[in-house]
Amino acid sequence: MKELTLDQAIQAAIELNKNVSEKGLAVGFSELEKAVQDFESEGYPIQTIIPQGEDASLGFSLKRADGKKFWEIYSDLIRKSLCNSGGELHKLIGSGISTSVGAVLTAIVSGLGIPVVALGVMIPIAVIIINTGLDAFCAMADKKN
Amino acid sequence: MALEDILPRFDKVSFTPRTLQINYPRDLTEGLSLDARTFFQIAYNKNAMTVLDWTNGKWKDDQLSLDFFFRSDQETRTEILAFLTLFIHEYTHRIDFLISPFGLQYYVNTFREYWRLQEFFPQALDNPNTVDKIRFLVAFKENLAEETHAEQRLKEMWEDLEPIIHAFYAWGDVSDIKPMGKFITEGWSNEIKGVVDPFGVGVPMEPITVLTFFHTFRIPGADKLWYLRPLTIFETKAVVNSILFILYLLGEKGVEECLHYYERVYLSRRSQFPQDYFFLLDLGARIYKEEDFHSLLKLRNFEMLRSILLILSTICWYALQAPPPLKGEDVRSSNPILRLWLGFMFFTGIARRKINVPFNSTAEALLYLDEWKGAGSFYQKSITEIIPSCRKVIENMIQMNQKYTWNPDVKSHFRHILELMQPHFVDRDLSYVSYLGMPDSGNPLFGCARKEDWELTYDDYNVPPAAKDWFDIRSDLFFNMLQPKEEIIKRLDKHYLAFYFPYHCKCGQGFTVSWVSRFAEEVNVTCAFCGQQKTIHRDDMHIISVHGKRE
Repeated sequence: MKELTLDQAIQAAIELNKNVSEKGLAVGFSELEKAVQDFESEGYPIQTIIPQGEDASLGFSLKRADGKKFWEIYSDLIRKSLCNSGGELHKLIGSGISTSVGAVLTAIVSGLGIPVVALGVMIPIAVIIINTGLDAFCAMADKKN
Repeated sequence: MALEDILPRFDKVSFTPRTLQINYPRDLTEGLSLDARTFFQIAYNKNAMTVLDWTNGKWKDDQLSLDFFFRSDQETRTEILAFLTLFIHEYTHRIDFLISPFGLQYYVNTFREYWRLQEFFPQALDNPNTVDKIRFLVAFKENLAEETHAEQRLKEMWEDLEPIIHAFYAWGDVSDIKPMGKFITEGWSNEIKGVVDPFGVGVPMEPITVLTFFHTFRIPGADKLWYLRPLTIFETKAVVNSILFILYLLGEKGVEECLHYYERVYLSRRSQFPQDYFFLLDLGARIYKEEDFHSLLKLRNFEMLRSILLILSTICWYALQAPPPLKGEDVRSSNPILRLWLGFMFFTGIARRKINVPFNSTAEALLYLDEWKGAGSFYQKSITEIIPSCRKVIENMIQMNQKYTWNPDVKSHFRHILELMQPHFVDRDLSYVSYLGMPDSGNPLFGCARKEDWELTYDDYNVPPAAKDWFDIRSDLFFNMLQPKEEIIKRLDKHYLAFYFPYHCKCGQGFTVSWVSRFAEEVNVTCAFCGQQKTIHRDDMHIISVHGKRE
């Protein structure tokens, strides 16, 4: 995975978004799976960008956060952190630019404090959220609550 | 509820070593199937069940319970066993942490880390430049500019902290935390490098060094970030005890149940579990030339299965005798993976009749291992050295906790841990015998004989909130690359709030400044200029509350 600047990441997100618009959301998920694999093969464990919120434990519960689980965990994290009132995505919904994949990507990166090395993983996440619809994505947080 | 639906509920059960808490979801029993509930009603005939009830295994001698069990379908039987072994699994962890020298090493590191952080965080939080660097602290040194006096001071403090935090990182924090690839180097030295068959059972592995000190092995070509680590030992021991317990409950008929249990609970979900749950089981099966543990189970050979499980339990117990390193010692003498490797080769040699030693128990065999010519060259100490040194370490830690831990809640929590641990070292014979550490029945709770043993099992201890709060944010601050939220920084600030105390000595040569506990009634200061010592009462101190400034 090549290390990207935020501008390069936004450009890549716009291109992937076009691709997803033409071929469907499955392309976004497949890109996410690939991005997670690339991230790990570059020597970055995926847990380094998943906050635990509690002390490390062991036992029957220990489960790996692999590529397949990643979206489940991360979408939940984004909803909890950025969809609440005052959250970066919540602000976007009110601003009228909630359909801009670049704006969503920037909101995720700044809102979660994503390090540069993990920008590549956030690209498909932003694209999936945009194609789900930002309102709908954040509304799922209310439903879950 | 079907087994596949209840397993995710069981998956929420965990043990957190620093708080000593075994965490159960509130609805743990609610999802049990009707048949499983009926079985428990017949087998236990009790409503308010404790862990001792669940694990007493008395129903193994009750024909009515056994008949009902074996008349139930396979899924229900596995559900019942999975439920009962949850307690075996988690209590194995808790007891292993509290009675083993490696457990002591883990807690000693936790205490030492905390004492140093008491002064590190107030200073790091006091400077806007360094607050931004409070993330992924394992690499703190790389991010520090060292441009200001404050940054230089933090770097000096980091020199003491780094080996402690790096030890936890290399151990995966005894959880599933994986260090970044850049912290892993191939080989142990220029001479010890490249793929070999270190365990002698036909499994190629590559020696690697994590963070320049932790020698271990990984599987070449596979997940390059996974390697043998303390978690491998703890989880193997817990799974081994669970399967041994099934054999204890059901005897030879239990072999079939173990096969289904392993397939349904672990193997069918292999991709979800870290390798640590499987690797040593598979390696152990190869001692008897079976391809893997699943193949061994499919032989349905009670004696062979039990033999491998007892060997693995013994090897893991031997590995957990890795003590805290003493000052100036080679850290390899505290590496549990080197002990694991040594123990595995020794027992493989015995099983394959390449090593002939007379012994009546595996604990006795380990005494021969202490004398074995290989042990010294692996930097390993004998148990006759380890236990006395652990006793001294605990005594020392009790005194240091009293002196150096500022927060009274944290101090009382550390004292609680040390008080639980101390009798298990003071009263232990200088041998490997332990009914808690390697129970033949798989149930460590059957090894409880004295008050001090039962105290390991009590669930009524509530970790003080201040200690829990620190432990909850610690892992993310150390090992996660995301920027901590403002709320986390505030909690950190609140927890580590200390006072800045400028002391002006009568010698008049200048101010000696230090950070002091906000809980201290008295502070001992030594003038940086004339060396004179003085004890100053809190009321006589002119302190600066940095916390107030940030608020």
